[in-house]
Amino acid sequence: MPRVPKILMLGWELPPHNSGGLGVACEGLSRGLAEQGAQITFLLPFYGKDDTHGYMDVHAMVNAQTTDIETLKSYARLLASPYMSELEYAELLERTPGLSLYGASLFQLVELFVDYADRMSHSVDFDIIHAHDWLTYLAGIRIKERTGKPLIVHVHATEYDRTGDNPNPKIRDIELKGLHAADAVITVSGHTKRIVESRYGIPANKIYVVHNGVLPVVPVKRLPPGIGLLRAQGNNIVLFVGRLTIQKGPEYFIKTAKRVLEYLPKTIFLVSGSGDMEHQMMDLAASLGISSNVIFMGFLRGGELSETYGSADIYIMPSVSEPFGITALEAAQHGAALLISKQSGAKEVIGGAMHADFWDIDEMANSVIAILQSPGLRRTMREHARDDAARATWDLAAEKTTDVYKLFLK
Amino acid sequence: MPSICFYFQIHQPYRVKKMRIFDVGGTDDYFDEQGDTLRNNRAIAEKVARKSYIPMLRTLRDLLVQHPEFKFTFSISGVALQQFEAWIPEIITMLRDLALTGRVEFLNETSHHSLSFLYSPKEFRKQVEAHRNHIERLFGVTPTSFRNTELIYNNALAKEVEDLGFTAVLAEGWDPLLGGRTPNQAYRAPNASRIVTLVKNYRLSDDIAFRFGNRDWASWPLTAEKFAHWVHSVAGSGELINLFMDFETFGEHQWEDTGIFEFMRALPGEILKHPDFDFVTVTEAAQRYPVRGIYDAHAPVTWADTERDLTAWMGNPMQLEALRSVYSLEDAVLESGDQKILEDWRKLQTSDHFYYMCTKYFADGDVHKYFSPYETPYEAFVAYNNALADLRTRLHAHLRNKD
Repeated sequence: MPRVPKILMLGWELPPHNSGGLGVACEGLSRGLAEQGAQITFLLPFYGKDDTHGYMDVHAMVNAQTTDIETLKSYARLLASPYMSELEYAELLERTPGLSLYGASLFQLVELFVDYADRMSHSVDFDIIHAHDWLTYLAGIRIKERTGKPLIVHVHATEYDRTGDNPNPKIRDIELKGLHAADAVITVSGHTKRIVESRYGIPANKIYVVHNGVLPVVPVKRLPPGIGLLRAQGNNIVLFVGRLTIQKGPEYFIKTAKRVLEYLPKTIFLVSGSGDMEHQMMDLAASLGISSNVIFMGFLRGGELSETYGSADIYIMPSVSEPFGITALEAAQHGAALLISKQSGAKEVIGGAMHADFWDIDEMANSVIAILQSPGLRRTMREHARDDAARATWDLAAEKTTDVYKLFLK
Repeated sequence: MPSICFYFQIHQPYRVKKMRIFDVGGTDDYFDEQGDTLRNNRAIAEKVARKSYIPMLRTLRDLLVQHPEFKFTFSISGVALQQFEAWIPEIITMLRDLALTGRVEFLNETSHHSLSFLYSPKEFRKQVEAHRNHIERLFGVTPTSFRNTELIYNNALAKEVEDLGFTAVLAEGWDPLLGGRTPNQAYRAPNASRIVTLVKNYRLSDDIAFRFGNRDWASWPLTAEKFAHWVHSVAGSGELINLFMDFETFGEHQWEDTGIFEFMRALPGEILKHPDFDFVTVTEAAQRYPVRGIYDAHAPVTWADTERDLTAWMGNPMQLEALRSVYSLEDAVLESGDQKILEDWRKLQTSDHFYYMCTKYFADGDVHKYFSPYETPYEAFVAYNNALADLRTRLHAHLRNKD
């Protein structure tokens, strides 16, 4: 009888107070591991009062005492912001009076979390430290140094992915420390494994690929009202979902839209997400003269996001560098045909997708036009992508993670 | 006296170049991809010729000299012949020399290795005729037996080619249709009265074509002596062993270093060591051996995959759409009277285009099970669809000019 692995997990966010895929992945993986018998203690900076993650033991540096949703949102945005740049963080802090006690900068918050996690770990029984992304690496290193327990760092993204090859040296330095101190590294794709090897000098035999999963969904039949109308008028719908940052390649989406519209003018391009490039993207659409065919929907989640996925003929993920790209699987679950960049991890698990280099506007437009013009191609792609998404489970990810744990369990 | 009936298939498609929507209206050659890609038709034909066709044709020529009893049959697609004529005329010369021996039969098939039998009986007959003329012109012989693309066969095909006057037609010897009977005898379709159906002994054929170089196979290494022994053991239970395979088996699917050429050089001699055994061509086999049973194929059976059905070419909606699209142009193409348009349309009928769009094994994550010159089946479809779109614009322009 193998013994139950006891895992000390260090994370930065959990749904519903997540700003992106990191929280979703931590939840999915932890739940999968718990179902397979792992005993998980999860430490993170912030936890809402009514959050429910009953399959594990969650402790947070800040436990919200309020159920007021606006206050919770402010806390969550401030603390749970792994994707925010240092500058954005400072701006947010300035705009949100009364929240400064948690640290004047993101890096100070990271330091606070190191002390907090280290202190907490005294009273936790665990075999392995499992730290998710750079924000928690320093805490992982501190606990490993004190306890001698093995450290696994889990790379959901690197600073190279986030910044389009223009890393913040402070963050890169923390990543480098964490990756080198780790006894094993888990990456969410072969794509990320190659980056960890080439950019951080980590030997391949220390890196294990565990692709993310996606929770099964029942696709919604209802369309968002405005979109339903556009569809009824005979428009095709092409969708982008993601933060409007350099990493996600929104400008390539807009440029592809321009090229497609030359051939298929009855096509609407939806942009769901917010970020530092939002205004730039609106300006780009306007300067290309396609504003009336590009709709910026802002950040969507939950039912709204599901409905939007469900409305799309095609989902495009033109990321410049995408460690995984869980949105591609979500779009597939809702029946969209997929066009994803070759620079993505999702490509490794979705056979039912077209691929293009993110910069190859003509190739992307060529694919989009073909998909929109051919019902046979569309149907074939949708069916296969949906099958691929159904096979990408967190159970599978948890099994592979358990295999890595076993290397360190005596 | 049991006989061995060897039939080798030679085929090379004209692969569609990577055509984008932006190329539509700006090109009239869909098959001229240049450079180091898997779609450079000339480079591929030359490579396969070097590794496989030419050394194997030499081997066969030597065997004909060495063993007066040795005979075999070729089926060569018209599109392969076109490529040899244009780029590797040496192969045509070698084939002509083989034809002159009178011990090599050439089968009739569709000129463009097409699925036309399933989509347009009219087009099918034209392609059969075009192929017959091509063979007559190059080799001075008139084919007397028929094989359909990818061994696609059913009762209706047997009847159709019987009406066209053929002596024999080839099919896969598929267990559910044989129902426990041996493939090693001649059959007839239930609705046919004269034509003989010869069925492939796929176990023995695939021992050579698929398993020969597989070191994990219990019978590896396969020697000519061992294989001849298996063949000889058929004596008493069968009279005709049909070994049907791709010609590329020799040197391309099984590389030279597996010893495949040495194997073939030795095989006829080993088989002939048994005094009761000899070799026949397809038409000879049909004439010599009496029909022993009915081979009843309602649904099409093929020699592809474990399913032996049509799903490699017609298994998903985009394949079906592509096929419907290309055959829907038939009337307009004929009406145009333009020979270049007609030829391009026919080249777009070659079965390989649809095979590259197969997604059957994607579901198992076994993406590489199917060989394709395209990165994904979807990319294959897009290139093909854009070529068709261009053909349509040419048709429109042509019809407008006529008015």
